[in-house]
Amino acid sequence: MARPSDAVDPVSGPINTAARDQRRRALAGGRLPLLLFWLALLAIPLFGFNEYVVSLGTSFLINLILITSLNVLIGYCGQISLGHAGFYGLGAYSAGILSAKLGLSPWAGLPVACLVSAFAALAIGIPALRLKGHYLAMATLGFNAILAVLFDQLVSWTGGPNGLLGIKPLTLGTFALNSQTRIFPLIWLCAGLVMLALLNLIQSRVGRAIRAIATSETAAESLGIDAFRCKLIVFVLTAGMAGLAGSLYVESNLYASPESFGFSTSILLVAMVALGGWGRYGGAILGALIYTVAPELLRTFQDAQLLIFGAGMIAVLLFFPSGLAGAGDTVARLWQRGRP
Amino acid sequence: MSAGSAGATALQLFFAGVGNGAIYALVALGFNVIFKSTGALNFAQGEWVMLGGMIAAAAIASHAAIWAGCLVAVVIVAAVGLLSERLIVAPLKRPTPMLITLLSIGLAISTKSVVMLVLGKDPAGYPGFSGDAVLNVFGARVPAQTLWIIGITVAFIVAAHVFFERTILGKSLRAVAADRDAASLVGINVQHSVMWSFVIGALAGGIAGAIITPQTFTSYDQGGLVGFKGFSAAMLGGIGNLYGALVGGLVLGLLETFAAGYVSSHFKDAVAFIVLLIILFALPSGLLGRSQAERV
Amino acid sequence: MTALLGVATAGLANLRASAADPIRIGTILSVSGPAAFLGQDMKDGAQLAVDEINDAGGIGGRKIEWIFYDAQSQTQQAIAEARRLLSNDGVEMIVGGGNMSGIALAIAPMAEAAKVPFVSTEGASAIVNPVADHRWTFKSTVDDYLVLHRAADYFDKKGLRKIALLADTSGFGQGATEQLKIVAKERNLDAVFESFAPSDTDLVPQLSRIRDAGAQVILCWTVTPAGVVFLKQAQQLGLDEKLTLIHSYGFVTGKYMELAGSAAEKLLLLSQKFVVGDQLPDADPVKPKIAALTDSFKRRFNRTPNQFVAQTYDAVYLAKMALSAGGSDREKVREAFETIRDYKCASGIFSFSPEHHSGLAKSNIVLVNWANGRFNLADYT
Repeated sequence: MARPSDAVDPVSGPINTAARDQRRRALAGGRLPLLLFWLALLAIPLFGFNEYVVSLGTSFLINLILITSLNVLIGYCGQISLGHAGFYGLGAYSAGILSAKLGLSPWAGLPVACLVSAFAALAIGIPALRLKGHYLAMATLGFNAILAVLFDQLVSWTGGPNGLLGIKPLTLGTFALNSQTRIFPLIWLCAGLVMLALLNLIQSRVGRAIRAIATSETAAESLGIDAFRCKLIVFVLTAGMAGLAGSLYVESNLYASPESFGFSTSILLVAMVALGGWGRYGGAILGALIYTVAPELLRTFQDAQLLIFGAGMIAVLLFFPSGLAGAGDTVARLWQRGRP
Repeated sequence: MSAGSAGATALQLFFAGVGNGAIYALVALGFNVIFKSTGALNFAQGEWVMLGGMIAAAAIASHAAIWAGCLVAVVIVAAVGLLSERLIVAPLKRPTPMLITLLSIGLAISTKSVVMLVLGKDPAGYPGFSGDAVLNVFGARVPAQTLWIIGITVAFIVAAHVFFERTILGKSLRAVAADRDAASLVGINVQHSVMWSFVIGALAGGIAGAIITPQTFTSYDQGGLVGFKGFSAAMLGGIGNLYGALVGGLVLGLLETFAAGYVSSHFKDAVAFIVLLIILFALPSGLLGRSQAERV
Repeated sequence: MTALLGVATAGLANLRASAADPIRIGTILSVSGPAAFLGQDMKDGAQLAVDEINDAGGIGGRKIEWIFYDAQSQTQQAIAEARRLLSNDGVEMIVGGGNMSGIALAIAPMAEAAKVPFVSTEGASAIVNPVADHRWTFKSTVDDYLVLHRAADYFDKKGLRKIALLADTSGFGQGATEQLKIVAKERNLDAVFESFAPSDTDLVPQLSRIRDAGAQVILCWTVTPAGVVFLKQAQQLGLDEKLTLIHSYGFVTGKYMELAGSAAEKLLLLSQKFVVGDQLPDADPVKPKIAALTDSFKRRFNRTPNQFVAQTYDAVYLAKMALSAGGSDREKVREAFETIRDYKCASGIFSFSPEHHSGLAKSNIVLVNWANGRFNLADYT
């Protein structure tokens, strides 16, 4: 008997149907858990006793925007982008330059950051998405690397390697959002909207289309789906979200420097998506958590930090190819197999 | 500036470019071999180059002869390649390209940190095979090491050609790369072929590291950039193509050096990536590749 | 528990602490990543100073509780750690800005906002200028501007006019590029500028252009191994025969000299007096300080210290001076800093003022060379 899970996609490999079906069931009620989780996050500024803990919260939310959007691209759309940090940086510098160099209101930075990143993604995506598989990976890698050089070299705009200083904080009238606790609600709101938007996207017609493309592009095309258009929409959308994350980052830190937006960051983001579980909505939350908290927890093992990270990543990928979020599935399956 | 010295400068840059290009070619070659057998992008390739240099430096610092130190390093790196395959490819039930690519990222991070912990953070180097000898070639001063690099690279490429064209193992690797299932149907052990491709890839990386270190020095964090430039060279030449690696590497090395010499040294690092983007959008199959890119 | 204690101490800024409460001093340095090679030395220097002060009874009877974080050569990391120091750990002072100018530049505004004194051990003059915006930030190093003037003194002596600056694109190199443009005008020098990425491994293009431009001096400004590539390739091109090659104070370390081998034979370096302490004239007031530090460091860490050790060692002692005078009142500590005059340390003689938050003067820089396996004094004044 031919099973759906026998389907193989040249890029993503065989798709685990059991997990996908379970995903669908979970997603049907997905909005309620998301809402509850989101309300629970408010505990951070309310009960977190100092700026440092709240700053972990804001970092987590910003990283969540980055990793969830990348997850949708990689996991649902089957396209690897190695330039996500580049779009992040474009957004950050656009917002930062607007405020620090051009003297505009910092509020303008948020939409501008989205648009700049989205347009850049359009420029890269149109040629690159016509090609299959790894070409987008290399194109985004190259794009990110070039951006890193530009961030570093265009000193009069970006401040060069010393970073961009002089960014004005967001203000509501005379109330300045210049502390972590003050800016938390805004970031919380933006991140929440992004998560909701992505959830809606996945469950929409476009979302079903991209999941079909990820399984088998040829089959999807035969059903009348314009693969190129769908992939482009998702690529541009997720890049815009990364841009938004960049503007939020810059407004909460009042600082931006090139090293945060290089291709090594892009690679780490991909690693986090994989660790958490690509193609799983909850996986992104796990990935963002690891990305934000692990460096703090591993601080005492300073020198060994990188090794724990790399070895841990290999271990997770070997034993839980669907990431940590899929660990429950894997364990359940193994247990099922063991039963007579 | 007289015409003679302008010519000498151009020749100077030419040799520098070819020397750098040879290294990119070796990295691209290793990258291509693994890509052909697994479909994955091997992010650990650059780290293998760094490993070759670091181990050679450590051996030579412990009073080994330069040749011996380099040889030891190359052997060890090849062994690391073999172990890598056993670790991240062999255990996989479904070795998809994406999974192997991601695992190679973890491998790269781990390799870099192990080197940092074991061999330290200091930069390392050793004298060239002919010491500090410099030759005068029509006004250009060419370090002997550059000639060694070019020679060894050419030798390796020739050896690779012979391997793939004339030996059973080489031909079986090509068969697996062409069609995995058909190859296993005729009795080729696909797993073994993948293992050998990793060994060859690591060998190329280790050799590259050992021969370039006298000129560039190395440290635990130098692997990433040379790896990515090697990727660019591979794409430039046509991914998966053996001679494409050589052509791509040389063209990239020359482009970089001449751009830095005649246009601006500020954006030198960007050259490799601008070239990459141009190739991807204008000529995706690279200079020598047959049309690998499928248009959607 | 410690976190709550930290919050309590931080929140009650004006309350006088009892004599038993430790003074929390935070240090951020990079002991991993590209800037790591001098980070470890700097960390040990600070460690030695903290231990010495605590063994002698602390500051005003209060022992120092020293909190150290590794910035990993990443500004983002350093910002998170500075935030942690300022709000979570409740430090009374931060000493050390990640041994990268970029990191120090990012920490300074945070210290200003939190009104906590920050002693930077990094090089860029922008860290403490303009002083009006940097009331709480102090620098225990020489400004690039002054180092370049010192180099210009040497050029005057030797009649050298055409200078090529080969600087890397890091904050360190770029700072020198900006300052040399100013200094060249002031001292009537003809300067050409070339640059390279810190991770660059081939400088032949830049060197060819410098040679063709007819420069008499190549001043290389970097802390990365690319500076060794510079030496080797300059030697290969025969430039060390005809031109004067000079490296900045960021390159004064035996490891690099040994890597360069014969290419370092004709090299001159701008440096603090520390590495040639024993060759200074006896009249130099800094000489005994250098000897004392070398001695105690050797006994504690079993290796010879370098000038990076002295940089942080002195910074901690400067902190001690200010904290002794100001006690728990941060504003008084800040003012105390500005009154430090002619304080003799191993790095040099420190003087601060309300207008000048950079501690060392031009006279603290000399030129050295490398011979017989060590640095030697080449040009004293």
